[in-house]
Amino acid sequence: MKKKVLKAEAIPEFEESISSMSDDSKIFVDKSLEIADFIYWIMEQKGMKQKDLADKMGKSEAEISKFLAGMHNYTLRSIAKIESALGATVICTPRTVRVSFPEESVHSSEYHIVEKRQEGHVPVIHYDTKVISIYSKEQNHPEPIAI
Amino acid sequence: MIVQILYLEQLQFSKVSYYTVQVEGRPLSEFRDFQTRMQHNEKDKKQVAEINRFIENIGKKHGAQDRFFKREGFAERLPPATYRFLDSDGETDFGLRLYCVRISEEVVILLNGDRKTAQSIKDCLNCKPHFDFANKISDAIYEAKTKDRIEIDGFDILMDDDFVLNI
Repeated sequence: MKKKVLKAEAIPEFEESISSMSDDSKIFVDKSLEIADFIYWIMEQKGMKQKDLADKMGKSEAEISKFLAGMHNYTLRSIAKIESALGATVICTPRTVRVSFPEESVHSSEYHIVEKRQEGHVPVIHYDTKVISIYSKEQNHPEPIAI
Repeated sequence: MIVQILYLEQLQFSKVSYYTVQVEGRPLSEFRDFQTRMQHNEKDKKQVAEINRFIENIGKKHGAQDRFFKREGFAERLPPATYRFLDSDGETDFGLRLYCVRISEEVVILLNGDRKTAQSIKDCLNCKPHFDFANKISDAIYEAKTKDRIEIDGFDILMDDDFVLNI
């Protein structure tokens, strides 16, 4: 009968080192992973492989894998190229949220809905750390802009 | 060399369980040794913190997906491919490397590493021993799995009471 590994070890340095990080370094690591994960998720939703995105962007697959690995220092130019190739918004600022994801298209367990509320005619849905707005049918954009 | 698998009690997250190994006769596990050695200067401390934050994020939010790791022979390493630390020049200093074995999206064995000082691993005296060790561990785990001495069940590594890796 096999058993779980029982012998444990504490690594106090692990937590201490994270606590000692500057806020900007923490934000960099967190955001780079969030962006990488979101690009990957959009690709999955669209049935795109790395090669498809590479072809659309005129880049090698190796370069695309950098975008998907986390800890990548994206430039605004590279984000613009990725958004253009995906036909979807990857980054948006809180005051200019205009991205439309049909609610029914968001099925991934990676993105839990934590709050829904109405802002005027625009239902806003918070997914984990992401904010995605869905246009209501009364507006002029009943069709999703992205995905 | 007799090696025991340990689980890392603070590194049990909703998406990943992290483990390490300890070589018989050595005072520290491989991952603890890496963490303590990388506290000696500011550059190491800063870079190991970034790697730790990455490990934590993967564990809490994303899972140990293949794309987050760089393949190194039969093992893996962090940070991911092509990441360059801001304070490493990429000519004689390629930044810290932490070698590991990614068994599944839920189970990762974190090992040891050091600062990489040459483009090719065979030319880096710092990292080559850790690279070789990680590959031996990966081989030994693969063999143990095929001989049914250990099995992976979700976040758990299950093994016989007397099981140790012999590398």
